[in-house]
Amino acid sequence: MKTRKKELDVDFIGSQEPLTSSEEKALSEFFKKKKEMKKQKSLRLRRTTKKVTTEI
Amino acid sequence: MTNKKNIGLDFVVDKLTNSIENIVTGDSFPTEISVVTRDDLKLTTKKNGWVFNWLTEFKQPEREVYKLTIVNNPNVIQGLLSVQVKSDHVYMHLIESAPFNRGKTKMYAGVPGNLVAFACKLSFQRGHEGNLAFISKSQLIKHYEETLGAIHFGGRLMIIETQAALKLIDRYFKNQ
Repeated sequence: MKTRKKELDVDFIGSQEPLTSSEEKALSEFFKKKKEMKKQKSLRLRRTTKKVTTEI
Repeated sequence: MTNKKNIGLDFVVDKLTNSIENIVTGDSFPTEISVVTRDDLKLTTKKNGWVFNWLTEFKQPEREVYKLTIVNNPNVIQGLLSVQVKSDHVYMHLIESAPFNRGKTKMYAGVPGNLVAFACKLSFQRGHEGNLAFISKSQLIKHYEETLGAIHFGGRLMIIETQAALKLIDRYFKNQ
């Protein structure tokens, strides 16, 4: 039997205060790294697929 | 009382899918999200019970402000969202439920969830793979982890990554 999902129960999220520069930097580096890792992974996959295709 | 119905497929559509739920009657009302206009903000003032200054959000050109309303009732704002599309993610500055949707006496449930899911959707539409960041009060970190699938990034920062974003979109925007 499926149970009811826990519902988000808040009145507000976030703040009107800006992020600090170190927070901005940390987020930017994280997402940049994530993007790079994804790019490398897809390149690796493409190379493997090409190799397999060539061998066949 | 159950708040969901199994429609025979391998997913559950509950009363919060594209909709908000009246707390008292349990009735579900379809919703839509649209860009806020300056006229909309004439009523979202501190005098009318809104906590944040939405005109300030609206005036910042890099930010986009959206409103959640019930279909065919566009003049009553149920909640507001302010986001900024950054170079590799969407940053969610602010969500506020309307004064009548807050606390134990709230009229409708599902307002913030719908708005967060919309921000995730926007992140996909703008090419950021659903990545979303926002700040959290320390006592709410666990709640966001449990309800949104968010990850505590450190300090007051939280992020929602692709898989969690997909789940939220799947839940709140099933048929879009």
